[in-house]
Amino acid sequence: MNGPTLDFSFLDATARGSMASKHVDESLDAIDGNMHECNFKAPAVEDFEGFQREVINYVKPNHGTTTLAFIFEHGIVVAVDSRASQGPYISSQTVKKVIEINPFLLGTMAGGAADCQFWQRNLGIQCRLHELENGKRITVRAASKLLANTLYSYKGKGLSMGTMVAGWDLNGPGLYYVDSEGTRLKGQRFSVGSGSLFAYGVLDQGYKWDLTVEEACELGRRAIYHATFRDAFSGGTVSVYHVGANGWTKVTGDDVGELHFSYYPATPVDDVDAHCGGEGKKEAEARAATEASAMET
Amino acid sequence: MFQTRSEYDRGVNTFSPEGRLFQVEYAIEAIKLGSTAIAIKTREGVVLAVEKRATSPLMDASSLEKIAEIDAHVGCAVSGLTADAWTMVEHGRAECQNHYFTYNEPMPVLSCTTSLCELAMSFAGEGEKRMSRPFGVALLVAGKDEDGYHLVHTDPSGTAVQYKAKAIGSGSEGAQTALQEEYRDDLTLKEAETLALKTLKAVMEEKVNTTNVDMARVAPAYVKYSDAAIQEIIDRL
Amino acid sequence: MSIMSYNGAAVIAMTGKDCVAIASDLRLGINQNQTAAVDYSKLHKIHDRLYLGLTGLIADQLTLAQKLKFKHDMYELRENRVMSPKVFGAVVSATLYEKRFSPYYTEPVVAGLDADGKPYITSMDLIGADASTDDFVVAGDNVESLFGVCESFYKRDLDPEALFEVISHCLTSGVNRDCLSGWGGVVTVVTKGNGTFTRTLKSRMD
Repeated sequence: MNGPTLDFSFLDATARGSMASKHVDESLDAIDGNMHECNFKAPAVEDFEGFQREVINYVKPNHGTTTLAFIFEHGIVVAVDSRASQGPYISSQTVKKVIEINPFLLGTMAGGAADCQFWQRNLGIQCRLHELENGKRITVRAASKLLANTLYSYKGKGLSMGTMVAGWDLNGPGLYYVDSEGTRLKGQRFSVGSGSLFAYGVLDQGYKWDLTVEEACELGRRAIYHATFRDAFSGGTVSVYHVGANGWTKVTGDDVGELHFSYYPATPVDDVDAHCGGEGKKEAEARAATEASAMET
Repeated sequence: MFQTRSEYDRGVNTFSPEGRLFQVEYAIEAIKLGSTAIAIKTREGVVLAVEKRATSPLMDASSLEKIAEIDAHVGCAVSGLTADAWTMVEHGRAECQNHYFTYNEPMPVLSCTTSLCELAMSFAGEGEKRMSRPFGVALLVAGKDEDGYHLVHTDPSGTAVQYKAKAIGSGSEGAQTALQEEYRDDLTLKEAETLALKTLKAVMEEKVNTTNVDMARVAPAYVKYSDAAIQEIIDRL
Repeated sequence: MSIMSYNGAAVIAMTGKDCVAIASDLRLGINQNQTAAVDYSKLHKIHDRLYLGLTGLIADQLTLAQKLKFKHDMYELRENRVMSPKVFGAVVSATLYEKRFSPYYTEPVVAGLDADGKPYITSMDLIGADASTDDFVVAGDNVESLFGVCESFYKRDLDPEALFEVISHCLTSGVNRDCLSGWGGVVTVVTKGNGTFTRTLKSRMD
């Protein structure tokens, strides 16, 4: 074996003593304003990119997702599905893709689940320290920039995240799209994930600035539902959050298994015997009729 | 008190032949020059009260911060060199957040004070992060965790002691005696507020008002008292 | 991505007492993730007591189905009798192996009753390796799940109604862990004395 040796020393750091000394160092960094630099060790290999390609097979990112968020007159609606897939396999139908950073900030999750969970919790720390040090809540603009800067510092290292940071600050509602490439966009409407195009279709069609809160929640729910219907990698439940001046609230969480039939009540099929290979009964009858008349002539 | 001044009172890492660390003892002395801070623990919560000494009428008293939030469940009152206090408070905040990040639970109050004491002791260590001198500040850390309420006093030597009621700073001697006489195990939070301010009033030179005192409580969350709330307690005295 | 999971499919066949059942999901996907249709059965009727289920690439499914239907109908005209399931299985296998080095990207399932009413089921890989069993066969992009539920729920010698229940549960549960199949199902049960019935299944639509 002359492959790369992995450094597992972090596994030993369970005792309070060793953790404590590590924490002292990290938190002093925090005071210097370097909290976001967690200083993960790069693998000691010559060909980093080749090594990345190899290990990505063990760290499977969950690419299947639909998430959306939009600003309207009465705040922000954030809606997400809950499916995690590894290839075509559904690894979970109950993933929490809205990350509650603090009572006024929400993050959404698309891409690597672990990456999103870890870095948005890390963002939570940075926001809380900002709050304690400055005596007021962080703006959405600043929070999203903290995350974008963190992700940019790991650019090219293989992080996979497409996230929206939504929240309410002294400027009112704020919505930003941040991804692991380092992109940070301010906007009114975003949708992220494999089902995002389907969700955009419904969202753009139904969006108006002066929607009521109920209408907006329904629009978000319907957009995600349609994405779960059309996109194979999205599904599970549709969770809808509303962000207002008093912070966020979870509005609904509906199982798509039931939601579909509330949008489209099932109608009994009269006879499906002729329904073969995508050919419906009517088409089959029509074809039989033309063939019969062709025989006669 | 320190008649045996010698070369031993210079180095922070050197004991005197009598077994004393003079620089640490001097740092503890520095706190006695600081403004008075009082903390009282009850079953319903912990009350913190501090004196804010504006040395000039032109000074804006609101900029004298001597009570700080460390996390939602931990607060502290300080006396001594306030600049050192902020270094410790920021350390405590970062520690609480790191604990929450790693374990997804609020940091226990005693773990938090332990980490503050580790920082206080860091003058004895080596390397880049080493402090050149002991911190010249004492903290009264008030907090609530799953074991209930805690009130911990930390000093520059890195010693942490739990108290039911504690006074630090210039008026601490008189205040501590007063607390000892008046403290009961069944104090309500309201009674503790009154006792804290009454004790503070007794050791302050000025008349108590909303600009020269500050108060906070941890019951169970950290809340700083508004001027109106403090005025109400003053009226109760 | 494998070409076998470009469209997505799940097909199961099961034997019962003097009956046989075949089930398919109804999704048709393109580019893997886009659900293009949700009423697309992968079952093909060969004759009253013989059904063919095809999984894999839709284009090849249709080509193969038409080719096999043609071969069966020619046999019927020449021989003046329908193919038994066993014979039809051999034809499917031979047809697939003809294209050994540029195969149809489809894995078939055959289910039917022979002239005596004896059930016969078989499944094959894409070049016709026949694997006939006497209990159940599965095909699609998620055979692990389908095999799992079938192993758990299958019982021997079920009557047509019970067999319908079992195969329906196996299909709807089996596709629950697969992104690329589901969106409803269809089941056909062929019985010895009481003809054939086909029912559609209501299931999760994500």
